[in-house]
Amino acid sequence: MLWQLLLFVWMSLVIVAGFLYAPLAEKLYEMTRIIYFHIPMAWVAVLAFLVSTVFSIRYLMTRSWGDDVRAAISAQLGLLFAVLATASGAIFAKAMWGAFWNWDPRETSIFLLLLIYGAYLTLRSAVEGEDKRARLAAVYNIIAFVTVPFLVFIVPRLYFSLHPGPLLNAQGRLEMHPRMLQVFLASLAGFTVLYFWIFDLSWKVARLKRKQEEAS
Amino acid sequence: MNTMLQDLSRTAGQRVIADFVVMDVILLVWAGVFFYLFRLDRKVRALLKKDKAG
Amino acid sequence: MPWLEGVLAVFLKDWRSEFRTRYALNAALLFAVTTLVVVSFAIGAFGISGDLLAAFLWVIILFSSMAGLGQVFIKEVESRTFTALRLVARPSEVWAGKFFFNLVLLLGLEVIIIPLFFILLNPRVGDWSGFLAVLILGSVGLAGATTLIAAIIAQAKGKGALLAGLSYPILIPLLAAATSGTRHLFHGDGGAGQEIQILAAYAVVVIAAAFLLFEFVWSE
Repeated sequence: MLWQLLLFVWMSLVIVAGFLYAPLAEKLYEMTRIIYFHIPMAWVAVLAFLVSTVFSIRYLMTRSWGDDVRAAISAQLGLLFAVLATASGAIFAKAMWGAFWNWDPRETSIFLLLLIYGAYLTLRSAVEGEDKRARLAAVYNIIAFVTVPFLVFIVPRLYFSLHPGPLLNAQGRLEMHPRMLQVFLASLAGFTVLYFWIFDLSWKVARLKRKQEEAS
Repeated sequence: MNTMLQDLSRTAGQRVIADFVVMDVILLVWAGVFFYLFRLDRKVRALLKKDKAG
Repeated sequence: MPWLEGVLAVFLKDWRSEFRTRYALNAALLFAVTTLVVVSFAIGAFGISGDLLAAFLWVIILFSSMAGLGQVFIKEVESRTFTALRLVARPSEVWAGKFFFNLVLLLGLEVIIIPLFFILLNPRVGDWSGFLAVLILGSVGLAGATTLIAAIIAQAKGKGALLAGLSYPILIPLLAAATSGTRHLFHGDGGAGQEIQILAAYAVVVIAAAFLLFEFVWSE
């Protein structure tokens, strides 16, 4: 109970601080604030994928409904955050480099995550039979996870040699004023807690629904 | 660093107002999201307690 | 070794049935040729850069794979031989056999398409061994990933439509490395050493993962 209200105050403070406490950055001016939302949301999208894959692996070992449901829950949450991250990232890119989309490695990575989530959830809706659905979805989740490091870590090396400029890491380019860093880290923490809260809530709701279904 | 803070004070009055408006909208959205989750959390807790007792 | 025999048996079974109908090959070939012709016609007499040509090549390969490589499991489901195959062969034999089948199919497709590509669009290639390395390694990775996904979608509703949607996210690193490497080779600058390494690593990782995961797709 208490920690949730604490979260409310924390994030409210982050929002206010982002607007009033932290300074503006060059070139971005008022758009600087996007950093406090875009990057934490992208981080949560990645975290959600990790959690989803862990539960997928667990499912293949335990064949327990609970593991499959939690993999799906995390995927849905991850999709939501991936959409928000991609959209806010496009706005940030427009403000920073003048174009909404450039297919630079970082942009491609978050979009790729979006595609994987979409594919995963589409697959789930296309398979009949609870066990089969869980099994096939888990396998897809894992194979997708295996290919992600290639795009995030290895492929960018190809592009660094070709294109400078917009493809450098946004944070690398932006030297963060200490106040900006404080707000940024606080936002990161807040979003992470928010993710776990929504995840936990969804898991409880799923359990309740299941009990209802089993009773009737 | 000082030049950055100067930017804020140099902006026209209108821009600063828009700033506050955006901040307030975001705060409202956050409040909305939070209280939705909070109410849901309370309901779920109550239902789970009932389950454990009954 | 009994395992290799099993693999060969699965491969030959698919090879023979494909030879009779040529269904998958025809589907893939038709798609590839049509796309190639349309692109070539649209470009007309104007040359286009090596960058674009590299991209076109891999888009054509990718899209024709979607048209042709999914059949390998779908046909088992449609002809109801799925269960029989499950009883007769081990999962690893099935995957390996079908992977090799898809690989041969893909390479066979490329044997027809690549010369046609060169005739119609006329790219310049300095380093042929590099080009072939990128092509073959890329195809191996492509076949590896697609065969696993094909096994998954064969058991879902709306099979064919799903194959592309599920495969693309997984294939993006492969596509990026392959087009980048091909681009270098069409330009004649530097060479595709890095890309070849990436493609090789990708192929190894994906095939290993697919090999381990296939059992879960195949058995209940």
